[in-house]
Amino acid sequence: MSRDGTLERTVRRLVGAGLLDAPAAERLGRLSRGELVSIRLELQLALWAGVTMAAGGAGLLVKDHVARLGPVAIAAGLSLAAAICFLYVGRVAAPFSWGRVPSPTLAFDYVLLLGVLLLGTDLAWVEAQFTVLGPAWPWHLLLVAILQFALALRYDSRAVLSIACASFAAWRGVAVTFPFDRFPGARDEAIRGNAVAVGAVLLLAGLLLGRTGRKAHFEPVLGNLGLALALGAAVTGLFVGRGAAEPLWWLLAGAAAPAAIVLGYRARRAGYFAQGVIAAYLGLLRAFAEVADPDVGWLFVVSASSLGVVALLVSVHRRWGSRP
Amino acid sequence: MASRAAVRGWGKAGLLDGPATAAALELYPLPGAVRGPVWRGLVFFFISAAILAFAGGTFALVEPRRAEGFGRLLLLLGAGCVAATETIVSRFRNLPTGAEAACSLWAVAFTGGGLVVLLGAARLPDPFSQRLGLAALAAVLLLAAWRWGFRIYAAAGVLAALWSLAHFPAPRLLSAVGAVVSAAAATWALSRLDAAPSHRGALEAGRLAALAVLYATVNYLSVDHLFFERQLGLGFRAAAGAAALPLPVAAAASALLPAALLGWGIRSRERVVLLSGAVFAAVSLATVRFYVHVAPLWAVLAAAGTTLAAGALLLERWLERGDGEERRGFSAARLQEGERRERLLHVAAGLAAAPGARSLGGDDAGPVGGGGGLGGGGASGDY
Repeated sequence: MSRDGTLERTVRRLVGAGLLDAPAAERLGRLSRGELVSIRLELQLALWAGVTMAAGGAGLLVKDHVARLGPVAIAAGLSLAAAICFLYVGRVAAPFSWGRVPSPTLAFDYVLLLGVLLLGTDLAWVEAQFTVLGPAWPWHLLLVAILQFALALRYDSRAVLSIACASFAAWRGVAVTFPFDRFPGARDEAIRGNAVAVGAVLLLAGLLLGRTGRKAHFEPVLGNLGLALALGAAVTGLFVGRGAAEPLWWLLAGAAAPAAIVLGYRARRAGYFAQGVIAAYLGLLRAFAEVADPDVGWLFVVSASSLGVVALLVSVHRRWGSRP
Repeated sequence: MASRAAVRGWGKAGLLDGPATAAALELYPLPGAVRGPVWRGLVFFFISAAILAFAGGTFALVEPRRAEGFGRLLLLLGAGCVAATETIVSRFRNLPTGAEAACSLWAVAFTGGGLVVLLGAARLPDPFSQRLGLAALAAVLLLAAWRWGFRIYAAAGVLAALWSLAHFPAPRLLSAVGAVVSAAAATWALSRLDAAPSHRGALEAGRLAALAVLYATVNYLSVDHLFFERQLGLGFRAAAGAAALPLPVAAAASALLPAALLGWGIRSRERVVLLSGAVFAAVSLATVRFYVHVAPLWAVLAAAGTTLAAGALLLERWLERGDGEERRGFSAARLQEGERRERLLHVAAGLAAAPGARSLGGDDAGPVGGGGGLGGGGASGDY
């Protein structure tokens, strides 16, 4: 086994300072010598991989055996599987609280995630096969998002909260991964507009929860995701937006980026601050490109200005760190 | 910094109570303002932008027309980045800052790239030039790992070194021997040397890379498709029908190597070895499925996923019921890290399972028109 010399010295120093009693010293000593190891993270990865594979198998079953199994059998099967998951969750879950609620077991979050995935697949399947909502079928995504959000609140699950946000965004045609799998083009103004609206709603929801102290620990998830959507849409609108909407993107980016920086600094949210800085910088580059034709000198301007931003960040961080 | 991080982790894991944690942290005062991962990411982004823009502007100004000029300019830029990295590492006490990661990355990229370009321009005969190029790249990466202790340089350096060996005759055998030697050397270093945490991480990463190459040399699919002999484009084509390793031996090794790694990991309580054994076992099972269609893919995924999740749950229960919530030195309790990694894992798991967005505009005909999709979690599909 591998010994960690740094940890061993740390334990010896704490023992020498009288900060560890004998049982704690023995346990930490074993930890530093590699005689005691936690595999909690590995177990969680295995759970996540297992849930993903099981959900993937369910999806393939539905896709490949539609004709053979029939829609009712598939819907019933998915419902049953989801019900089993929720039965387990309901049995072991702690009582509701507006504060943090630790997971009662390691598997809790992943069984809940599997149940939510299966339920989402089931509802989508039912809507697709039986067209319950008719022409208003996209509203099923909103209903699913509301249900997922309620489950996230009840069981204090960030994983389900993330899915709820993604479902809400999907209702408005915004894929959470949209900056990565397909860069929005000039004709995606509607998607960008929806992304800004969705982002604003998520950010406001996060700030509200934080302010009221109700599930305040959800605020970083909602806030960061919301800001990423809104700022991402504004910045891409700056670079590729055309036509009548173009001035709106300038206005939005010009207002949202500084606002994110100020909000992040005041609330000590590094994520908001970072997103605001990147969006502001990209906006300034875009503005510079409007004024001066990009040429070789432009690259040196970018280089120098990037270093300037780093100097600014160092200065801000010093002040950040010195604030009570 | 590592001691302070360890104390904070023990406090969050409940191994130290509040007053003891606070008193212990006073023994390890902060050398200055410490930057969290978001700050470091931001600094990394802008330093990288500055370096790349400067490099682009320099190339545009100088306009090297020949490969030698291009290579020398890359080496010059690399030297500048090395100097910057050394300055940051020696002058800042509150590492990491993100800046040394960015400078070191481009130092390695420019220096390695420059050497490869210059060797290419020397018009040495193949495959000698390829061997030398990869060896030079490996040397740069391993030197960076030794000097600055980043995991990625150690892993990439080991891979480059072993890939260089694969350009010699008997590529599979040489790669396997090289991988065994590398893994053994890393294991020895981890158990004998009192390395800094960053260098311990680099040694772990190098060992993992070596084990991955070792597994790749014996995996049945790799042997069947002559991956080392053909796919690497090395010119050492095996004779028609000849295999570098008999397939029955490859089949046995594909099963035995992961089992051996699992056994070694359990005995030595080395998480990286344990994880590599588990991953290679999964790859071996996937290889079996590739050749033997025991069941439809959906059934395999569902059964494997359920088994994996159930196995993890049972293992957790078994460990929790042990004396002191541990068995044979393994525990499922949170011992050193706080909740941060778990929180990030939960959010990442949720986002990875994100449903596809519906289409806006003309094709809102809905599911009847085929515009539906299954929600995430690997279950993506249309119907």
